[in-house]
Amino acid sequence: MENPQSAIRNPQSSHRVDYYPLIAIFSFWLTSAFLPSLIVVRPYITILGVVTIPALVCIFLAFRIVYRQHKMKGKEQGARGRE
Amino acid sequence: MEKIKTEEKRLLIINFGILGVLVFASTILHHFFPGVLSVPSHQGIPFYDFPSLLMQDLIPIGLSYICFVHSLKYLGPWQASIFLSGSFVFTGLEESMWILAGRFSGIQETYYFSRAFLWFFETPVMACLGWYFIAYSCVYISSLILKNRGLWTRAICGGLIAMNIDLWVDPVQTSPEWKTWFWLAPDRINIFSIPLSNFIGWFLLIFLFALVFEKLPVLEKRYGQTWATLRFYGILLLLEVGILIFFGIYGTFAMKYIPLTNLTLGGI
Repeated sequence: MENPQSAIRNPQSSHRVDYYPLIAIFSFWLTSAFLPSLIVVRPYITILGVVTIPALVCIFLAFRIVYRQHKMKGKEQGARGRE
Repeated sequence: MEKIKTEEKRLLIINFGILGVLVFASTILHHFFPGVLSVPSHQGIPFYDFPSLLMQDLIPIGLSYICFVHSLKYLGPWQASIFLSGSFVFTGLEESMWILAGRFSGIQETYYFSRAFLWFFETPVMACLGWYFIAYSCVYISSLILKNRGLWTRAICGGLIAMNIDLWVDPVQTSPEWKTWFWLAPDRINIFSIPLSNFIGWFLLIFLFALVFEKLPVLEKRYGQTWATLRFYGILLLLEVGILIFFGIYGTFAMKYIPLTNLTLGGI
């Protein structure tokens, strides 16, 4: 019943395109919350950003997974090249 | 193979053609005939000059573009386009429905967006595109970190990530320095002075869209691309009505039984 072609389900790649959705969501966090909060005069509004730590952790974990996938693929290709 | 490609091309042209016409008409209506939809005055709204409006539209267009490039690579043109236009229409209609229902029903005003250059009904295109890349990114992230879990778990996680980010975005963007949108009536429960229903809405839109989108290949196999597209939009429209009913029931229940509450942090 699940989408077999979905990148959302099966992210496999060896290209920087894999980082694009992560860059998009982090840029959204940056341009819609973090940077705008710096010019808001209300006290504690920037500190309020701590509530988004779970989302940031998820973005970081996803980033690390993609990085490791690429690194592993690079190693495999390197080993094949040596053979 | 050739037939599929032609059908796909035709569908994409129709899909984005209709979307383009709606955006063009809504933008003209919003800027040049504001009386038709009783568009609120933009007096006192910061960053309302043309370069700022354009800039605010360009950022989400850029972020959507990179997500679209990613989806093109993995999903192909048809699915990638359906994800883009589907999430755009789904969330744009949902937001516009709430805004216009609040404005014209006479029961209770809800909220409205104060500035944008391009519009889709009464929702800025930047918000619709925002929903697109947020939905895409959040579900992608949840798929990476919950690789071996089922669809429901991943969709729930995607919705929660989006909602979590909005916990900060909403208080910042509704502050007097930005005034990107206005909440006109408080909910019974508010978090950082933002109605709880807003956060529930963020979760529901991403969660439901992720669930429906995963069924798209099944629909395609069974009905072909044209009918699958129509059915997909049909399901989304039914969900819109479902969400409206859900919030109607929630609102009635909350008004009756829940005392006015605002959960704050440092007075926000």
